[in-house]
Amino acid sequence: MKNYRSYEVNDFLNDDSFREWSRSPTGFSAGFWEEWLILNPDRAEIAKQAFTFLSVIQDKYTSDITAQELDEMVDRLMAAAVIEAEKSSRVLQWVNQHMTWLAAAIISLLAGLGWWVIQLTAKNETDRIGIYQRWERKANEGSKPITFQLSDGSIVTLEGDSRLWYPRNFQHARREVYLKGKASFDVANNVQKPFIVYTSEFITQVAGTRFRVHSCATEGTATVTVKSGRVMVQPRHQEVSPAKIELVLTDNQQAIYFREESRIEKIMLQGLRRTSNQCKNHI
Amino acid sequence: MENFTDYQHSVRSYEHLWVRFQQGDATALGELSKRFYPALLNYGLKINSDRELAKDILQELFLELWTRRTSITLPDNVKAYLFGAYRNKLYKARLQTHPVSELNDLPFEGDLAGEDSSIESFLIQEETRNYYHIRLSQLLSALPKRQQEVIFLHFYEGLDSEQVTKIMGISRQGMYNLLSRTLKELRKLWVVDCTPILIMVFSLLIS
Repeated sequence: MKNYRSYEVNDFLNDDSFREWSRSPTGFSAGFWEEWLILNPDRAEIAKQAFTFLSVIQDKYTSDITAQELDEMVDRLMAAAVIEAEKSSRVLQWVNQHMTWLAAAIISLLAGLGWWVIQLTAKNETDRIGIYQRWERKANEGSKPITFQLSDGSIVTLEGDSRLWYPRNFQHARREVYLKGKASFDVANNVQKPFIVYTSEFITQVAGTRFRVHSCATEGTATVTVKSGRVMVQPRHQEVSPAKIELVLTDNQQAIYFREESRIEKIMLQGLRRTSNQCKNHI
Repeated sequence: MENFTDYQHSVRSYEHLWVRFQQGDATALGELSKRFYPALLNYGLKINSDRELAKDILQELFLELWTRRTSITLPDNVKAYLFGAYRNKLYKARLQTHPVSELNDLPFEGDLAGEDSSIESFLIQEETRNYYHIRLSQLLSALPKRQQEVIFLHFYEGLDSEQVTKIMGISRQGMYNLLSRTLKELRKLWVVDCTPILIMVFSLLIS
């Protein structure tokens, strides 16, 4: 047992059990400390000062971050991490496939290659890390779709109960946006900077085209429908392994993801298929 | 909110998490971010009140760790490592938009949300808390930025003095001086003007 009677304010402030009590005054340390104060009235004043100090700190620096904010951040991070893993494993694959050639190149062109690698890494660094892309969030809480333009000229129609995160300016090598819910895209043509829509089920990549994405957590299926142009769709959650499945959709084709079976399928749309513009509230 | 005992118990599980993270397990990255985002972002917002920037930089940090995962060694203390790395990035981002001379003039609590001095908010605070708390809180706000940061990291986040010095890039002696000066000043002010109220509040709390 520690000799708390000899404690000064400083010592209490640094004592784990005492700190625990100040964080949750009705928690498991409470019984001990309440009794201690009654048994040691001459030392109580010192302890009181420490206690009050700690509870003021708790109040003062408490967090105002919402659970929703955090969820959104984690979602965005995970989407971005999957892309990174995919990119790097593609590099590794390439290295494996070209091993012999690479060895020869290293021997004969060591200096030149070194320079090239340095240039390449330097470029990648500025591309990804040097510039902070400022992200915007557009939420449509209502029931009517809203239409707006992104900085590259692409037009987005966001249906009710849907959210889109997008960079204020597309500064990176790819135009990447994140969607929860339903939206249609009319993408400005730019072959150099592919436009990519991430949802929890799909990664949809295009250069310039018109298509529609439905991704509602409350529904059993998620879809990507192409009106015109050419769109590549990959299922998400292949985690680290590089995407093997990749569907190419053209005019009036649709990719459907069946949540329960984690299965993806391509179909041809015959005639007009009506889909609700809003996420269903219940499954 | 950080629970100190939980924290101690889970130090080992962070190591497991870190190892899985380094092996390229994306779910470990998810767990790390879920575990540390709340505390890190709270800290970031105290240093830089631009909410969206603080968030973006935190995302960048985790994404960088993820892309460089194979070349990073297991830190002695995952939490302290993340706090330090985040702080560095926040200051670097600040430097892009602000001249160096302004850095030390920035308040620790971002936009001074806690310093709202309107009568209305004072009355609300008066009802829910008490005079002593408000007074002490004001005294803390009046402290220099770095002293507040030490208090936050040590007393709020439960990081020990060695970790705090690493995160803030100051010497051990420098931190002790900073901390003992702060506590001395605060204690002097307490005894003079708050002791009777303190006793009252305290007896209410334990009754």
